[in-house]
Amino acid sequence: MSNGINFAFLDEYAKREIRRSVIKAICIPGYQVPYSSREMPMGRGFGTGGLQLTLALIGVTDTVKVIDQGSDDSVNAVNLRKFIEMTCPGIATTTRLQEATLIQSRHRIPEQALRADQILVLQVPYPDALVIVEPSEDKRKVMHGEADYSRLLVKLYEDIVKFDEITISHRYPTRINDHYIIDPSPIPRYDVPKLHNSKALILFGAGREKKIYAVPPHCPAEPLAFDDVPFRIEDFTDSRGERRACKLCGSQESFLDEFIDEQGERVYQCSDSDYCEQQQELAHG
Amino acid sequence: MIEMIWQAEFQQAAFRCVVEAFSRPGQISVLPECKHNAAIAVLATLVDSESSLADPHQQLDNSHWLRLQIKPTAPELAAFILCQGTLPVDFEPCQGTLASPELGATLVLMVAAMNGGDTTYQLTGPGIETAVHIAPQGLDISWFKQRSGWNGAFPLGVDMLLATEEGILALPRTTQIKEIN
Ligand SMILES: [Zn+2]
Repeated sequence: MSNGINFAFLDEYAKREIRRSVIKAICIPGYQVPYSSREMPMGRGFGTGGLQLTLALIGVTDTVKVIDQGSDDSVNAVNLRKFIEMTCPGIATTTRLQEATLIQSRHRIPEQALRADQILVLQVPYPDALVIVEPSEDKRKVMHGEADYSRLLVKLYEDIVKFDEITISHRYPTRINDHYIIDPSPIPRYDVPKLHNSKALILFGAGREKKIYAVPPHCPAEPLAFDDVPFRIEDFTDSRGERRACKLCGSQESFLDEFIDEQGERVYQCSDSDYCEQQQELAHG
Repeated sequence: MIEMIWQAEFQQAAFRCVVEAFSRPGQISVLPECKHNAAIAVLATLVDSESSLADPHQQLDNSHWLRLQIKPTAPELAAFILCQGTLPVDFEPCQGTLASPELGATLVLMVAAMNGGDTTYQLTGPGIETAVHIAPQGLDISWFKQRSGWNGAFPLGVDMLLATEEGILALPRTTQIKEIN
C-alpha cells in the first residue's frame, strides 16, 4: 500500500493468529481462547480487543458500524470508526444496522435483531466470570474446563439472600451451550437474552486480557438463575404500571437511558440512537 | 506473480468463508475462485510459521511447504492435519487439555463431494437451527467412528473441515453426527 500501512493495520501474521483463535472460539462456545494481543496505537481499554477482531475479519466488501453504549456518535465510537476507515481503504461505514455486515459495539447489543449475514464484535474489559471467586488463572482454566461453577453459584446466591434479587446490572454470567459460563461484557441484562439462539455469530475480544471467545449462531445461552430467583431484565414500568416510553420516538419496547433534563425532570430516551432515529423516521413518514 | 491463495486479500475472503463454515456446521461454503483445492487454500489462510501442520498422506509438495514457511510436524503433535478422506485413520490427533482445549487439532479432510455418498448423516448442535443432512463421498468410515471417541469428553476434541475442489463444510467438536440409513 502506498502509505506503507498494511490493509487493516495488523500484519498478516497477527491476523492469522487471531483468525486461528476465532475458529477455536467458535468450535468451543464460550471458551476464552488466549492470543497475543498486539499493541494498537490507542490505549488498551479503548476497545483494542474488539478492534483487533474487526481488523482480522474485515475486507473491502464490508460495511462497518461502530457503536458505544448504543451511540454511533460518542467519542469512542467515532475514534474507532475513523481508525478503521483510515486503515481499511475501500470499506464502507454506516450508522444503520441493516446496512452493516460487521458491527463492533461496547455495552449494547443493537435493539433490532441481527441477521445471519452479520457478525457482532463486542469489546470486553473483563473476560472471566470466575475472577470474583478465584484469583488464580490456572485454577480458573481448570474450573472452566470441568464446568465447575459451584463457587460462583454460591457467591451469587449470597447476593440474593442479602439483596433479595440478583443485583448484577451488567456483565451477567451466562452459560453457553450447557458448559462454559461467560462474562458477556458490560451489556445490560436486557441484552443477555439476545445471545440465545442468535441468528448472527457473536465474537468477544478482550485486548488487555488477551482473550477471544464466541457465541455461535443458534447456540443456547442461559443467564444464571435459581428456581426461587428467576432471571429478570430491567424494569421500565412507571408508578402507574405503564411501560415508560422514549421521549424522542415514543417507543415502549426499547432499552431506555434515564437522565435529568434542564427542568430537573426525569426523562427517558432510547439507548440505541440508530433504532431511535429509525423509529422517528417511521413516525414522520 | 504470487499465486492468489498466498495473497492477503484472498486469505481475508477465504477466512470469512471458514468462519461461515464453522458457524454453520453442515452448510457448504464456496471459497473465492483460485486454482487450488479448497483444502490447500484454507491452509494458506490459517497456517504460518507460528503454527504447525502435518501431512500424513503427502498431499502437499515442496512449493507449498516453502510458502507456508514451516516443516511438516507429526500428526500426533500438529495443530492442523491435512488428510486424504479415502484413506483410513492412521494417527491419533491432539485433543487438547481441560485447561487448554483449543490445543485440539483441526483436521482438514479432502473428500470427493459433500453429498451423494452411500451413508447419510444427520447433524445437530450449535450453529444448526434444527438439523442438517450430509452424505459425503470419498470419506472412509473410520473418520467419523474415531471422531466420536476423540470428541467423547467435551471440551476436549478435534474440529473437522471437509474440503472438495471449491467448497468446505465444517464439523466442530460440538456437532452431533448420527447415521440415519
Ligand atoms: Zn427512541
